[in-house]
Amino acid sequence: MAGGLVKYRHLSRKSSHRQALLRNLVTALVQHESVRTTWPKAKETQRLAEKLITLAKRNNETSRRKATGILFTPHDLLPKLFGELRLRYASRPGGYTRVLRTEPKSRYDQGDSAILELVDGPKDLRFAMTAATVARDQRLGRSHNPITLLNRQKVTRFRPGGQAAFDEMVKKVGALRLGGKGAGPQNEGEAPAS
Amino acid sequence: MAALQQLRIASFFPSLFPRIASTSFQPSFRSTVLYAQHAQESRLPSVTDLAIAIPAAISQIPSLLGDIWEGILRAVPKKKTSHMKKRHRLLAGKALKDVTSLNKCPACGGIKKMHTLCSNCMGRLGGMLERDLKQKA
Repeated sequence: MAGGLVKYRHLSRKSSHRQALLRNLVTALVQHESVRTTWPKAKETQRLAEKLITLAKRNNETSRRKATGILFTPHDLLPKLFGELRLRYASRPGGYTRVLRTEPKSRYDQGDSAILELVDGPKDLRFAMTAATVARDQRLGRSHNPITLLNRQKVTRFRPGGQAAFDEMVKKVGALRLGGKGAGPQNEGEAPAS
Repeated sequence: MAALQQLRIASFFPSLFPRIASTSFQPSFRSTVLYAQHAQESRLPSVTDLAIAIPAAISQIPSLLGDIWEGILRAVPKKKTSHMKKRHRLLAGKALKDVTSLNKCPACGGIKKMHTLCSNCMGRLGGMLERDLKQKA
């Protein structure tokens, strides 16, 4: 019946076109650890990416063949997928990717845009963002927000050497001075807690 | 009595709507047959003959003037709707709305949209991660 349950976004493409698009995006994701696209495309690619990593964790001949069928450049990326990524997500029960909403791409293209990234990878933006938040709180001498604490727990939970890596990142991001050059406690509009 | 009434209607019809009668009734074969039947039956009292004769004479005038009335009696806009008026009409109630779902970026303190990354921090942190990845490789 028309207007019934839709099981996936069609993305205004026919099946073959959509399949090619998702394969392209997921190949780019495995290669670069993070892709920026529209939000609906990111959510659809997320499904395929999670399935691909599950195949990698299964790690047998059948799953290898199936993964070869998904990636466009399997010769370059299969070693990474069945090596690095498989080991990275060995203890994680699903949820290997993350979609973060971002500002629209341009003034004219006001479509919802998003970043799809591999969790705990070198381009984990949530990890860096949480570190930046902690760095700012420390600089201003404030206590952390409950959401910040939750995020810190999330980003360090399955990461090898999680807390140490996080502290390292806090130091590095603190040196960036994200709030601008004069963003010290004196020049800040809000009064510090201590 | 009923027959007389019918006759009257039949004879009045062309006088009231001369254009319709002349264009649509005469060319079709069936209607001409009906017409002939009416004509035969109408050999009746002279009073009705008179009643037919007068409107028939009048009926000639509107058919002459018919073309003139057509251009004058229709209601039409006096002026073309200006671009401004048209755009105002079409876009009424479609003005941009204010964005009120805003909060502060926890990393830099700037204003940002709720549930989205601050574009400033995203650019700088993303750039930093990119550089680190390239240095390692």
